[in-house]
Amino acid sequence: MIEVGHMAAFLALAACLVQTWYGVRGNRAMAAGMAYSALGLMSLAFGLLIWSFVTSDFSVALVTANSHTFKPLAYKIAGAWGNHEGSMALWCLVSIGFAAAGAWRLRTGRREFEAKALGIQGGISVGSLVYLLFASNPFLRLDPAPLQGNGLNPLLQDPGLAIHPPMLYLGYVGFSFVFALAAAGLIEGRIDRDWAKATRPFVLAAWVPLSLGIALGSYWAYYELGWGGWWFWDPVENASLMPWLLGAALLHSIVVTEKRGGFAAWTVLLAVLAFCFSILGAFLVRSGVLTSVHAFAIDPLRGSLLLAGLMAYGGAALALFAWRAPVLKGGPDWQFVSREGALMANNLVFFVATITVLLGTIFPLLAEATGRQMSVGMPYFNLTFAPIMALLLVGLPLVQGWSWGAATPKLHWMRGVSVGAGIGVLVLLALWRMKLPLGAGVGVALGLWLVYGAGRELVRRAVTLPRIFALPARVWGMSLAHLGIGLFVIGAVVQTSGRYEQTVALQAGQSVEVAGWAVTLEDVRSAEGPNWYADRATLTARKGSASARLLPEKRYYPAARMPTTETAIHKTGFGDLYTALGDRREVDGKTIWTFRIYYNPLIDLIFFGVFLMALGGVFAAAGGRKARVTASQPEPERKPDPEPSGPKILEPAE
Amino acid sequence: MKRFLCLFLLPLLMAFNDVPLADPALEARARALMDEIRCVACENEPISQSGAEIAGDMRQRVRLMVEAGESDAAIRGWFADRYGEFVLFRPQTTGASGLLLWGLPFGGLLMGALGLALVFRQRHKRRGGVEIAAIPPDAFDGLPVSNQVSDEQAGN
Amino acid sequence: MKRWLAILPLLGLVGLGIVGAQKLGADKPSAGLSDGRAAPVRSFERLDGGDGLTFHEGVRGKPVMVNLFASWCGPCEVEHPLLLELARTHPDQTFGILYRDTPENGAQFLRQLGNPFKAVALDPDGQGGLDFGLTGVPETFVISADGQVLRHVRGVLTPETVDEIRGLLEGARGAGLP
Repeated sequence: MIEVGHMAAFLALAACLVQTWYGVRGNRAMAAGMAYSALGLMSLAFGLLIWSFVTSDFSVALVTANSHTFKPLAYKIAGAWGNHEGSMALWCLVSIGFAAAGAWRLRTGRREFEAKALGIQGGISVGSLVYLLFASNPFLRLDPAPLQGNGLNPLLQDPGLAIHPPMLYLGYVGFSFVFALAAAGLIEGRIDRDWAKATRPFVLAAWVPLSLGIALGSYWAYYELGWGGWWFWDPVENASLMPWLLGAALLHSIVVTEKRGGFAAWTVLLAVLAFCFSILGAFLVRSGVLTSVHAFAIDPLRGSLLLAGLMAYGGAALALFAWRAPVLKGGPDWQFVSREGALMANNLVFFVATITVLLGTIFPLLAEATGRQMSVGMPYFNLTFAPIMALLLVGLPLVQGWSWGAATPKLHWMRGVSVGAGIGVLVLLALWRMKLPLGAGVGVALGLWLVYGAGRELVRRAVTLPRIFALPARVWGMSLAHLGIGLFVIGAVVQTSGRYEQTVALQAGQSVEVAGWAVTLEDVRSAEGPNWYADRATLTARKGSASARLLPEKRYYPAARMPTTETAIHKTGFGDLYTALGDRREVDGKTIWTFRIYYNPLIDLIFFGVFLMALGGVFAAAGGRKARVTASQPEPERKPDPEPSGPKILEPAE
Repeated sequence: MKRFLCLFLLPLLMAFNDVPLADPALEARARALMDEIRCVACENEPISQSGAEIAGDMRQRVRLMVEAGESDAAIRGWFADRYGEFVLFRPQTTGASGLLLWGLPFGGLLMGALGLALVFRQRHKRRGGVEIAAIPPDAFDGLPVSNQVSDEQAGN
Repeated sequence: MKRWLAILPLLGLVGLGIVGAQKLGADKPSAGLSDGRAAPVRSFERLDGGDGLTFHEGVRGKPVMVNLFASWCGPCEVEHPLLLELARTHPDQTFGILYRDTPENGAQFLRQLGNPFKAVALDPDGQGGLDFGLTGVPETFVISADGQVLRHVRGVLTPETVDEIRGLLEGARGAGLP
């Protein structure tokens, strides 16, 4: 069976090669056909791989290494991509899938351009497939087949983490198609409004899942690792944050290209860099050059191949950029105080923030070259990344209504004073109620300011309140995303500075007070699951009339010989009462259990904020489609323009 | 090997030494330090978030030193003396590398803003001070954007 | 857009590639360093119940070796024969610290495998290990007669490192840093 998958993957490689050939020669129809065939073949290959996990076919080496018959079905399936080889297969599938999606959805009327984009995407798929088949082959047999597998890392046996990698890959690999579109546009020398309009949905198609993937990973770390934290500035997290930041920058700059034809060179550079940073991230975390808490299969050979891929694809695209960018045309002139100016400032901040994350992540490597060993961690990023991003967020509500070309911001004293007073009252309330430090008050004020700004922009655009729902989906998308950022900031600040943690040792029947909750240990019993056994504590928490039962566990997975912490969380409405079971101790003949108990105020706002950003992205993509429907008319087949023509803007309705 | 020890010896000998300091202000200081000190037997974790027993020892040492009235700098220095600056998640601000690491983000932002302003001024001058029309941000929303326009441009 | 500006991103990527290529395959050095610092000032209890044991003042007017070990530590068993051999040639200069272990288990461990140590200090809560800059047993230190750490070996001893230690125990007798 798996040999069929192996064969299909090889055929998919062949199809991608042919797709590249036709694409580069400008034959869109053939390139599209090959993209569809490759998708069919790779789906078959990946489907068969999943099937061997589902049926626990231990004659497949990968299944033996990562699965076990006692594992629940969902995690057998997730096990297919919960390892290096399988995840690379998924990577290839997504890469081919984006080519097929491009073949299906891309309708710019410039067939030459579309063919080239498909060809380049085909070339990226070829690279991924070669890497898959020759450096990390998941289709290999094991002879003789063992009777039982080694099991999946129990940390990964979790619904959040089962779908976290596919989401991330949709993001990372999605940027590969944006990259392909950028390279094709550069070859044609036309990065104009049409290009931006065609590319923007694909940027969103990558950025939205990437946001969700990061949020899922963060949420998983929060409830599974048992330390109450949700972001650790680990290299693996930074590796996903950098393309996300560049994607966010790109989403802002591509609007200028789409609406005004401006920022062409910068937008296309961001499109190339977003993908380069995706590969760079893969290289940093899978080659072992950086130390991370995340246990990836580390292999220097794979590392050098990834680095070679980065240099080949990134180098080619950036060389193309160096050659073609000077011929790209800018948009119409604009003044510093204008929508363009504001978006330029936005991009400067996003870019510097990305470089800051990169610097902090690779600085230990640079220092090693001079013989020093050092660490760069949370304190560094909190003191550099956070204030730099705050700069962006303070400005957002002020500039979001600015006009294109030239803006004439008016000062509304009355409004300013009333908004300021409103936010001030809420902040004081927060400081007083939650006993936050004053610095946190500034953060909360910033968050409220963003929330106000998001609502204000909707109202301003709608002019009258009832029309608010008639606004284009795009405007809603933008405002939802900005609202999400505001909620995220409030959640992050309040959780970080207002959280309460305590490590306690309890005997059965004993109580302890944590953040106003009286927590009592009822008992600790053994529990058993399909592939684990556990100590499960029963805690009751009371505060006034409210009460909750919490059942934190300490699990042991015999197949993987590994313990895990299963936290128990009670949502109080304002925050999480979070408990993790620690170790057992015998003191004077009595059994005591240690617990870590946290109170994390407003933590859900963090994840909800990111979810709103992703939802905003979905709306923004939908809005783009609506406009396209009115625009698209059957276009006659035509030759590509003899030479790139400067983009012209459409004047607003006269 | 270290990782092996970290994982498997964990349950064997876990002394319960995470007793918070009585004074909440001192405890808060100790907590802040624990977030900045790296567990030496684990992969990239601060001692505040590590289950390794040596991380527990290090937490206890931080609390002892805070209680004994040592300054934050002295405590960081104590660990750095024994484990190198590797053990500190907050890198030094001094020296060439400190300047590069801490200065580049803010310097980059400043330089970027200055550079863009200069480029913008040049470009603006070159094009002449023509009055620029203000176009409301929603002017293009829902309008067919450009295909027809560029088609016309292309002479179709 | 100026041509030279357009080339900058490519240069950045090439620079990054060079750094990455250099780092690939390079051995990752472990935490720590610090030969030449002072030995910790701490008085340890002894396994045999005797007086406090200290290492900072150059215990016997000669360099000494201090090995941190534990009965629950597999690699410690691996290096034990090398320690026994070293103890045959330098019997007065080898000391042990029983790290995070009960005295009973430690005594049992030494009974079974032989005792290479002139004296064994107890470090039940691991704080002594931290004083030394330990990341995990086994680790071995050579301390000069005037109380400086001459050599710090992380992990299992090898015949080569033992030779080096032997050299330090003989040659650098009382002489501070080599």
